[in-house]
Amino acid sequence: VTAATQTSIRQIRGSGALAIIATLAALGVLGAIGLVSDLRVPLAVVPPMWTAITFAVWAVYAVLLLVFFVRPARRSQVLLAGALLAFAWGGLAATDIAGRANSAVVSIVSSVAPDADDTWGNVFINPAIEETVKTLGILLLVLLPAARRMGPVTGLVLGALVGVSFQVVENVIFTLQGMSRGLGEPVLVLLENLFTRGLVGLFSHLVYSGVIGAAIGWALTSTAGTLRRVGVVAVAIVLMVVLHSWSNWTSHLGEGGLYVVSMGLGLAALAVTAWLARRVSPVEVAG
Amino acid sequence: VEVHLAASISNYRASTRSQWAAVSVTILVCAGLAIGLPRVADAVKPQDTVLTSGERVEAGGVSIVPSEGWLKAAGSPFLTINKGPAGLNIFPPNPDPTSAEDSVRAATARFANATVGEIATLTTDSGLTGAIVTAEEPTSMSVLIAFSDGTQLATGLLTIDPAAWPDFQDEVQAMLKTVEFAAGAAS
Repeated sequence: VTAATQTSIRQIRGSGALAIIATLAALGVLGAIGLVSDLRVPLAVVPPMWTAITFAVWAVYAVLLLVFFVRPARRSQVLLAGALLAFAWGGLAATDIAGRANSAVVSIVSSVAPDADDTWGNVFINPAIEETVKTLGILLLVLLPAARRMGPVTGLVLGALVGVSFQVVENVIFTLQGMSRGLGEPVLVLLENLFTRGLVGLFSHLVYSGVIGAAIGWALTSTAGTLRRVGVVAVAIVLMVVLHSWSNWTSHLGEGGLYVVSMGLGLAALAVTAWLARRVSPVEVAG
Repeated sequence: VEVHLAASISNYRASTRSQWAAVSVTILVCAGLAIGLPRVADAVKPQDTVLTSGERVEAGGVSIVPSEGWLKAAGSPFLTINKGPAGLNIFPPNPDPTSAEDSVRAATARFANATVGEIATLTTDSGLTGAIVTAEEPTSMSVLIAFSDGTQLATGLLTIDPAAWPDFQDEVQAMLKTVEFAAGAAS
């Protein structure tokens, strides 16, 4: 993100902006502490070599994904600070907060209805929690502002950065937990996660947060009425929660055909949003 | 249109009020999810039940008569009772002709780094054949358990601090002799 390095976080002034930076950074640090604490057991059990391989593989995966966002990030002049704060929120704060809330929901469901299948919590409640937490971070980022040109494309980029960070950190956690629980040889656990979460999950969190980010970016710069702008953001959030639920449901069923449908829906949502975002952002496209 | 373009072209500036509002909402929602929700989960979590000595307790198609001081774990879909450092789980019986002894022998394969003891067999008061074997690791001990009536097999696991096992051994073995399968448990 060369253009982003031309500006710096020092250009962001004002008590509100500083409060946003402090919130994103502080919750990111707290999230990191929480995640390290939760990973104590897996890190103690999994051989260091496989821990290193896991981190390296998912880091390469993240870099390969982020390459696609360099050009739109340059056009939107996303600050490097904005990109780093997006990672801090998506990968550290949101992952930790959503993880705690998801576990609490599972516990509440098992307490209230001991015979209930906990699948429905994973399918219907967890997506709502995860999208809510990620969206709060996206909202803070676009209010910072984390880019010199705000609009739907910028929102899409910042949202996608939050989503990619969330997904990659989740991938690391799930892979290490799988290895530590002896679900198979480490190499098989890694390959399985690369397929289910890396390939099949390619158009998941990236898309969900990207679409919501685009809607927020549009709403903050559009001259449309308040009701319409809020409505577009609300519809985007609801649609992405539904898509997220659908994806979790198909993962639960584990049928290959449904995986393909999930990937197709995610790709379609991303393509349509990117097209719409460019259409309503003449300045950004021209840039 | 000019306003829209100006907002897009120039550095976007959010109002300080909206920034503070977003920060407040974020902190409130995140605190609610990360701190409040787990507290709600703790509050609604059923408490473990203190079992009366000599009273049969049943869960998941298996019943047992615990000794003094055992607690029935709340919310467990199968038989789970705890006492101090010991936790005993007996899982629902399934149609399986494997003998109890063969079952625990096969289960010891998962404990490659543990010191595995001799398999002990027993017959319960209800006529089930049972088998138990210890698998001791430096900081934990697992006692692998299985019961069979010839057509159904129920496996179990007792986890305990290795140092406490000698104090519990006789008590656990006495309890295991009271295990029964519920009628139609594995239908």
